[in-house]
Amino acid sequence: MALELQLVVNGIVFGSIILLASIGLSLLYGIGDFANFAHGEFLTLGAFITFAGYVTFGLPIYVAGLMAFLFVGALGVLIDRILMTRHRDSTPIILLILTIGLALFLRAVIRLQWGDNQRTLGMPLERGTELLQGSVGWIDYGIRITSTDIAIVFLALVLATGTHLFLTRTRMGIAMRAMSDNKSLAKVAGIDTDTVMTVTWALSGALAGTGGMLLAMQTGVLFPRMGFNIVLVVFAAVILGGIGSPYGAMIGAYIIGIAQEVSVMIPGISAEYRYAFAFLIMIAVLLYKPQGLAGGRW
Amino acid sequence: MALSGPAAFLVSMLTLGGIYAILAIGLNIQWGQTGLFNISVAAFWGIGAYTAALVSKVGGETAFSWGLPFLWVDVVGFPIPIPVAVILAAIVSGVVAVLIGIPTLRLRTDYLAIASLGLAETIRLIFLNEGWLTGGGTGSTVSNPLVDLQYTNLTLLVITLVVLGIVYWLAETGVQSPWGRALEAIRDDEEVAQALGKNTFSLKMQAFVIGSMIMGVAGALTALRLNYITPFEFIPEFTFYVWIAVIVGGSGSNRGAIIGAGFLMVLLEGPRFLSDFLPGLSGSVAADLRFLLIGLVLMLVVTYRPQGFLGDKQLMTEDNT
Amino acid sequence: MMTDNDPNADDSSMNRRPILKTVAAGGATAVLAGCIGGGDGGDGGNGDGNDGSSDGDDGSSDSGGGGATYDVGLVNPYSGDLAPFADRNDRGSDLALSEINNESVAGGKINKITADSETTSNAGVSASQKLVNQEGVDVLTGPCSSGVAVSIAESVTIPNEITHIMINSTAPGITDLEDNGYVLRSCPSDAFQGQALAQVVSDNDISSVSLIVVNNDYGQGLADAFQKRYKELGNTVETTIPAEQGRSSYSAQLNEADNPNSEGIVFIVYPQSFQTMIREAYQMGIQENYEIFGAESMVSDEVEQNVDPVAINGMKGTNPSPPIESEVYQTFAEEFQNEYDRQPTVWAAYAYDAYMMLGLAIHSAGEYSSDAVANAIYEISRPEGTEVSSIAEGKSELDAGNAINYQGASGNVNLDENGDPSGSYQHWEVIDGTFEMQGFVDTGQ
Repeated sequence: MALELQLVVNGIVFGSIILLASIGLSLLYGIGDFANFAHGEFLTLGAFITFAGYVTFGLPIYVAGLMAFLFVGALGVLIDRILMTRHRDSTPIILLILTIGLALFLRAVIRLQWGDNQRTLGMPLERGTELLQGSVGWIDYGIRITSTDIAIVFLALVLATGTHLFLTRTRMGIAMRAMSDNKSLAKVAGIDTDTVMTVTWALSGALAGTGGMLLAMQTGVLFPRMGFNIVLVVFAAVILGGIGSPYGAMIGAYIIGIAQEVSVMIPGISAEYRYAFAFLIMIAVLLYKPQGLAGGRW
Repeated sequence: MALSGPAAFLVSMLTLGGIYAILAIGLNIQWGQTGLFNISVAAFWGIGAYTAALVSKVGGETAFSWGLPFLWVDVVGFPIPIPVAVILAAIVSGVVAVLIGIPTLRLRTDYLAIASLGLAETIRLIFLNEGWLTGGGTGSTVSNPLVDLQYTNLTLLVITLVVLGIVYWLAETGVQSPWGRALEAIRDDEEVAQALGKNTFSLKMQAFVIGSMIMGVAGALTALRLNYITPFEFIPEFTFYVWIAVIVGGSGSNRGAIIGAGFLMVLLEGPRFLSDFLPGLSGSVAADLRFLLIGLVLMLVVTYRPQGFLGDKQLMTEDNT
Repeated sequence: MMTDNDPNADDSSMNRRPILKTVAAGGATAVLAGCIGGGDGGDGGNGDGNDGSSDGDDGSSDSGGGGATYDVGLVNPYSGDLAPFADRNDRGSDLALSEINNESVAGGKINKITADSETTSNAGVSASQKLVNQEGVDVLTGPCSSGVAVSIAESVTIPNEITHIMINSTAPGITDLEDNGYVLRSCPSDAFQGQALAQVVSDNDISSVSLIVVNNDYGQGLADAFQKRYKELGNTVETTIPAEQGRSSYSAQLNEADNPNSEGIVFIVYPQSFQTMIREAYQMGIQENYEIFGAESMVSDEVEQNVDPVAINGMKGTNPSPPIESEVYQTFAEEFQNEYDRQPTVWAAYAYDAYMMLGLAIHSAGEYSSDAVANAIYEISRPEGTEVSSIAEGKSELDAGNAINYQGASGNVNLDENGDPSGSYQHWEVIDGTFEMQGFVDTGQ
């Protein structure tokens, strides 16, 4: 058995896809103090908006991606203003159930709009470039990479960096951190917590929308359950990293992504079980370090 | 075989409603009574169903050739009564619940939610990929002795209602006992309960295991209703359905769980009649509208009546985590 | 002919629905009154069947009548994993129904009533309970996945002695159901295709393969049949790799299939996952090192239109015949194209054939009841008899007292004693991105 470096590369690409969704989910979890089960539908919606832009309107893929960023971000604002403002004082459980209802609702809307049939993004096909080939000892370092892979990783990192700058350099970002640390203290300090929540929803939605675009670029086909099918992994990344910590979520996303891909090398374990593998890692880490990897810090 | 027409339809719907009610009571013991946010209902439901299917499948037709009455299924040529198959389903679910409970019940509430969802997915993958045990994606037959009866569906309904009655009685007895009050104490404030000298981990484990066993029983009944089971029955959507029943009926109330299951049946099956009033509606649009409606109802209920029909308002609206 | 209504059958059938509905509801009430107490006796049999269609019998065949309606149920996966199949079944069956109702069979028209199976047995059983017991249909068609189909057969149609025509359920196990002749299907069992596919792979001198298989009843059934025959032919299957539908990446599965001992990779998956897989396979350079093969589920517009030809050129596989060249199919495809502005899939052809056979069976029996249809449908599809492929032809032959042999869009649909049509298969190769049929497969059996 050899360690195939290609699997690690695949894991980094998959980690980048779930990275943006993980950051958004973690922010919402930390600042709003609830698990947003509709986050998978945000991803799906981002993918379908990308499809609408790229295929239906024939725009360049990155313009379509920008549309997804803006549209799902705006949807976040809409959800917050219409629905969530009534629930500022609700318990996490109420909010969790609320978002389950929202998820079912959004998925039905997506299906009404785009139907059950798969849609294809139809990005040009590309043979992976062989960067390296060969092996040293038990490490097989043969690697093939496509420009789509590079674009996914690059875009994810750019947006993650942008989010980092927003959180550390802007007044709003600092207010979000303060609110995540201590809600009542933030209120006392004169932070408009209501607006902060709305901005959090917008940012979380926009990041998920772009994540949906990356997901669509990777899979090539779109269907109404695509986001829901990976949202569990996104949750695993968020919890692994430590809820509420966007930096933890970044680490979590890459650990989960790589672990999932590399797990297929364990002999006797079918490739189908790699999705289960993400959870086993998550639970193992939680037992050892209940606060997650970031340990409650940002 | 015997009934037809709307009466037969009603019997079938009542059976399904009864199964949902049993699931809802099981979940209510975990969530309403103890505050455990378990999203692996579908997994225990499936474990019960597969256990019953496996129990029924092994062996042959000997119970019938021995001239034993219909309520028997065969295990390795050895006939055992349906109640035993149901109890076996509960036991297997209970054992799995212990194994899952050990790592997850120490986690905080919302972690438990996601960990249990992940474990449910893992169990579904096992159903799907361990073909030697479960038949894999092809599914598993259930040799159901009830199908040889004249009143198959009616008998199943009676069995379901009897089981529901027993489960309800057990749950209500439990609620009123000191044990039930200890669970409530954990739900309301785990730290206080701990300070009072309660072994909260052990109590949480008991509630989790008992609730899961009840779900396993519902699984066995489902196997008898469907006569053939596949992993595609036990997807997360069904877990959310049972949650709807508990939330709408009212967390913490067993009667509420039963009412919630009734409401759920209306929500799930009612829209089937939508096309009777809107003839031009295509099947797929009707299906989408149904899920739209389910999502909407869920959001409206938690917004305007978070305690459900008969629930404990405090449980839903005060933050105990 | 009974062109009592609007000649444009498709529109008229839409407009007529509310009226039909009332008729149907009346029928259902009659069933209610007749059956709750009555059908208990062991003889029960078609008691409800006859009652249900009482208004149909009144106006049947020769007397001409004002047009009876025959309620037929379709349990269709409008939601859930197999939702894309629902439209195919609807389109195929509606095309057949517009022809049937234009001509009228046994003096009446078929009214299709649909219900959502949600691709699960729980909902599928509820849906068919509603159709059989609430709407009082005598014949049930659908659903899609074989697992749901078996649940419905065991729990609803067989106990109620309702004729059950499956449209897309190809699992080999269905052949062995103890169904007293009530369960049949318009699609061939995958046992046949598995053999044909094994033959094709073997004929291409590929003696070891990796299988990538969607892990549901369809994939497993076909893979088992393939494996058995392929080994009999003296070859080896290196690995069988399950792949669940709807995943975002299959690189792990492809990595596993990328096995130095294999000469080929056989894909038994749906177009949706195949599109993701074939992209990734191309990126990994799989096509350079392996011959690739696929089952009939691949042969679809989706794949032709959306997959870059470079990725699939040279791929080979099997497809149920006679598609593509046969006249019956061409006519069907042309009508389908006119009606829906797209090419049909083989699944639409199965649905079309199911309803065409049903229509001819009703006309042949001269009445509509579960037992009458169950008996007649074997007769009109047998090889002995004049070959017909339209309702008009079939009616004139039947009225002249001749036996007929329906030739369907999906094949010759000769039902055997288990209610399975025999499968004959063509092998195809992808040339310039399109699936080109290359002639029949001789499985040597």
